[in-house]
Amino acid sequence: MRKNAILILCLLLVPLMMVSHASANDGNDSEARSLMAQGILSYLQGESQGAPGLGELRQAASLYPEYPRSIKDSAGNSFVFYQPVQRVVVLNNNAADAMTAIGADGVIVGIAESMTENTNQFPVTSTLPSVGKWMEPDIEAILALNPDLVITYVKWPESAKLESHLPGRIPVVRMEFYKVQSYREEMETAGRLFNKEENASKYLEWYDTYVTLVNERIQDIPQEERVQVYAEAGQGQSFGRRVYSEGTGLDDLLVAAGGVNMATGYVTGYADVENEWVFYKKPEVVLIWSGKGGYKTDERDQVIAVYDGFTGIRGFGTLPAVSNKRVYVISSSFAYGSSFPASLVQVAAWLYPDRFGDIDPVALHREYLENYTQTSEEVWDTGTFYYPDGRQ
Amino acid sequence: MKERSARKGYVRKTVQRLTVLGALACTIILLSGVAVTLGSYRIGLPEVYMTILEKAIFEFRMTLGLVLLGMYKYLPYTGFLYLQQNLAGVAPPDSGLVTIIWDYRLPRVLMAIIAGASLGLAGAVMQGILRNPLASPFTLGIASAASFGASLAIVLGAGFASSGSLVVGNAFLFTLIASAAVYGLARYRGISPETMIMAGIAIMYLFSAMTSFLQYIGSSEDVHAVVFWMLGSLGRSTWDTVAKSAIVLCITFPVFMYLARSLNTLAAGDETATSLGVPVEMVRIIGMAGASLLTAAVICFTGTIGFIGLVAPHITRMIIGGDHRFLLPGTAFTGALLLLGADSIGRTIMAPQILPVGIMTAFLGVPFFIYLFLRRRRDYW
Amino acid sequence: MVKIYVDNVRFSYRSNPVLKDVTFHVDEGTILGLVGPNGSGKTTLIRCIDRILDPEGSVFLDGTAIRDMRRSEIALNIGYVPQTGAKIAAASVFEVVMMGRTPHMGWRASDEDLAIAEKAMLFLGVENLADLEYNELSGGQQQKVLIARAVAQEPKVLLLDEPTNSLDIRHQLEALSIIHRLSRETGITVIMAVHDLTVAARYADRLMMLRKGQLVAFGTPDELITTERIREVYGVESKIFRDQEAGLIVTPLRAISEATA
Repeated sequence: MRKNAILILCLLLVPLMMVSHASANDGNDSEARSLMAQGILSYLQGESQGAPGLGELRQAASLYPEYPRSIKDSAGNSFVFYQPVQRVVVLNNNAADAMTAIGADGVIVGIAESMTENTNQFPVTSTLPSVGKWMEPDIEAILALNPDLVITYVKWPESAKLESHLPGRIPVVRMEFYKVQSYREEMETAGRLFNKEENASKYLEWYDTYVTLVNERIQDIPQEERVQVYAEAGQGQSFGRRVYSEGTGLDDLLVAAGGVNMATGYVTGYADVENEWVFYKKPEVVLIWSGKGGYKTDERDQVIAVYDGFTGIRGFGTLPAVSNKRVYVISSSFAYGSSFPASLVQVAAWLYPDRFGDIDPVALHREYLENYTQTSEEVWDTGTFYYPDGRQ
Repeated sequence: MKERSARKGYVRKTVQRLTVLGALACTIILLSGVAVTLGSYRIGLPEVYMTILEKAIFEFRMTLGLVLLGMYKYLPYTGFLYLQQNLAGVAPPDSGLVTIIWDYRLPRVLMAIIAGASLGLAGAVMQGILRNPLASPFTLGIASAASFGASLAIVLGAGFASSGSLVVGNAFLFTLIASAAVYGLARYRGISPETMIMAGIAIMYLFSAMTSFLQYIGSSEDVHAVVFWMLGSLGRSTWDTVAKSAIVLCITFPVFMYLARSLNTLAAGDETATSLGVPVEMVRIIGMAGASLLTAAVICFTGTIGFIGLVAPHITRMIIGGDHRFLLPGTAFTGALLLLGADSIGRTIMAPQILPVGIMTAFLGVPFFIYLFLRRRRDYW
Repeated sequence: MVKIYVDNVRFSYRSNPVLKDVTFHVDEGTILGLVGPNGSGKTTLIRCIDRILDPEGSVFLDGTAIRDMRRSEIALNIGYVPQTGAKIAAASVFEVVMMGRTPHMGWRASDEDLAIAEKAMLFLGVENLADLEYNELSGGQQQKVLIARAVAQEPKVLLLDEPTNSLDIRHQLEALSIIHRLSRETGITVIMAVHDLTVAARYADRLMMLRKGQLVAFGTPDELITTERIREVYGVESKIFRDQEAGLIVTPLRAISEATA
């Protein structure tokens, strides 16, 4: 009986609210409407899974005309939000980085333990409460923050460590925010998820400008004239040479910049290889990934050590890449994520200096730091995003 | 005639054992010869050996020449001039081939031999002094201490790119600390196999826990580096590391050989050995110190390669028996052969990709070990 | 001539005294049997004589305190046959016997060492086992091999800890008559701990009885073994027979309770 009463109430209420907000409706209007109808129906049918509460329906109806909205994450799961998310727990840097780029970092309320050390990159976010290891978050700590969203990688932590323990009202959205292939789409989704569509399209416009620019300038280079690049993990990751081939972020970057990964066809993913293989393959350019440096101000020596560690290998002095000073150590926090346009232009300029002579990658990077991060362009002078970078 | 039979068997066995040792040595030489020709860069067999020969002669002449030049005071002036001209005329062989063969392949092959021999030898000595078939260089916490030392340098230090020597030094230092701790603990209760193993296990778990703790607080790439270190690899071998490990091997091996008789007698128990005039405690301390040093001198450069120290002595014992005078060199050969074989396969089977040597060693050694183990019906340990 | 002189030897494990002021001597070429109940300190005494344990008091060998002798010197003079049961990993019987040559030989075994080891095996009748693995032998065979090892050591004093422990009666007889023959033929002095009083009486020249670490009695078997003493030391009522051929025979009848003892 009570349900029928509420039904009648709602049926009266909803059209009323919609009419009253009709002027504020935008393009999402029809989607929001149909979602609203679905939500109401599932509420009325008393569905235990995924049905919104009365409060949510009421809020969506009265306060957020463009809600409810549906989001599909990179793991293929769909979510319906009846109002903008306001309290988000973020379990990795990549998500925080992406949210920062579209100005959505203000809703972050909790972070993974490891992120608390990134004070240089996230002076604001890094001070937030920790919810434990990113691979094994402390569920109680998450609950204590009362978030309305947790955001993490597609695969990690496994749902057994996360979703299984969280109540249904706290959805876990899984997105990578570091893979080139999915980055654009994920940023669009993020724009809708955090109700920052405008910022997201502004960022993506900037993103597209440089990705297109690089692509246009390199696409006419015939395959045989493309630069042969050897990409490796740097000595922090292995005793010898750990090559990065297809399926790794570094490979995506160098291929997008017009290079040819000389490991293509030999290995996929990453693998340990012999010095002699690198030696006789004679790469023209060497790209070395490093987890050190980036925004951090105290790791320059370590980045330089990675550089010296490679160039100092016996016999490597005769490699064209070494003798022509075309060995580059690139920090992971520069190579992937929202800085991708800047790092892409930088790598492209390393590979084809004559084709990008008119572009100043440093200025672009500074522009990025100023506009899309929690820091400012001065960070460029204190961090070590790549080496050599013209500084001492 | 009957009177001679008992020792005839013994003498015959001695000849057999020497033959096996000779055969093992020859196999190592042969396999090294093959191993230097293996690699992702195909170089013809004659070229490989010509390069080695040329470079060796070049190095020899340079060294000799420099020594002679150093003694120029004692040479007549014309002799000095002649030498100087001669040296100037010596050209180093083609640098590309030399780099690949002399700088990459030879150190790796030699390091495989030295590391395999050292770890096998250390294992045989540990099993002997502890009278325990499960003893290996790692039983007494040596490996976990080395891992901790390396992790400490990687996580709290600067990571091992910038400070390879810090990692090596730390691994070495902590190995010795662990050995001293085991010795101290065991000494307190009286040095016996049981006390040493108990103390060793305690130390091992302590260091393992501390390594886990470092991994817990370390950043993910530090953890990655630690894990890689613990996997073990011969990829970082250079002439320098080869020389350092070789020196320790050359010092400890004669000491162990000198102890061989005592180790044999120790197999009959402490009391019997004591009554037969063996300074049991001293042998045990020297054996432990030597084995620790030997292990440390290898794994600080290669990371932990665990399996050889346990299995090489058993394989050897099953083939040539428990007399340490033959067992020790035999184990050194078997260990060298195992590691060299494993590494050679590991770096060619999926070339240019290298498979971790620890994994290959197990793939190669375990079937062989199981075969011997099953075939052997007698109660050998 | 006194070969071994044990003077006021005391020994404690931790604070638990096991031997209390034991003093006795053994003449050269004689066989001394150590008897006494379990835990009376027989094994400890043997270990003290070989300085495997380091007791208070002194043990003299030919007038020299063994405390002042080097380990290798003791090994040249005193042989020790432990109780069987311990395994010896990956060693052939010949190798085990060759261990007896440790104090004599260098790193390489000389032909003489091999010949002596072989002779010791012949003496014990184990030469046909030479190539077998020690661990595969039966208890009796192992016992003989261990004695052969001690014989190969060519000691002047031989210490045996329960040499008949794991043997059936046939092997007991064999082993003890070999030890007896060895002593008579080579003039070696033997001290052996023996459980069985009948066996001890038959093969030993002198017996020494220990009880709770104290020397209770010392003398010839005939003097020493009496029903009163057996009752006092072992707490057992017994009967003693004397047979022309078998010698002295002790037959225990029943244990008596502590109260009456």
